[in-house]
Amino acid sequence: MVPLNHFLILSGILFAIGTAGVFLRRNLITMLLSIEVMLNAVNLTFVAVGRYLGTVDGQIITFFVMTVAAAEAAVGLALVIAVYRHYRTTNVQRLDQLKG
Amino acid sequence: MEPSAIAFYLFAAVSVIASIGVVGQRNPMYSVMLLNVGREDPAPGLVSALGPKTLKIGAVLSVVLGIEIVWALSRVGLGYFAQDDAARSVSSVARIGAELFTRHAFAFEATSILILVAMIGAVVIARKEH
Repeated sequence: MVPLNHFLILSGILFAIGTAGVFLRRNLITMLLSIEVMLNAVNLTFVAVGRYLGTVDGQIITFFVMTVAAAEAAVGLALVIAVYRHYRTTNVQRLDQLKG
Repeated sequence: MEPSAIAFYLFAAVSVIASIGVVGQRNPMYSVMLLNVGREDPAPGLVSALGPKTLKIGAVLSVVLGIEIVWALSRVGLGYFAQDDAARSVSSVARIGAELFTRHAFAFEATSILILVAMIGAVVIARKEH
């Protein structure tokens, strides 16, 4: 049986990759996908700890996180489409209209 | 080493490599495909097909569904390998369903309203202005 530590290490690595993507990339779609990677890393932690504790609570919370992630992806990608229609770019550095 | 452990480390490696690819690719379309390889979340793949790098939705659907099927089968295999006592006690679909519709019923209903609001919001934001 795989120990819990290995699940947590994998989850931490995936979360770090997602965080790096959010901070380093300038494309809005890639940033949204990086947030998805972070959410999936958290899901992995919930399921692994739930399995370790012998309860189904981790899987139920994962169900809710996936639901919220779907809502976030729908609204986020709609915003990306709206931004692209208006500015003809998805590069966040060119969206500087609110810059003081 | 147990088969379940081998499967875990194999999929962990695939998952990490695919996640690095999601972040590292210049073309968002490849990022979406790699996200589908690493996880199973077809929604971004379908919607980002409407983005700058337009691809036919049918092609995206077929690729995503293919990957989904492969991953679903691999998950079934993983579940088959991991039939120890701990896994058996927490992998009951009936138990998850019972918990979801009794103890977490309010959260479940609230989530459905959240999805409805998000869906309407997405349609309103993404529609073309006349």
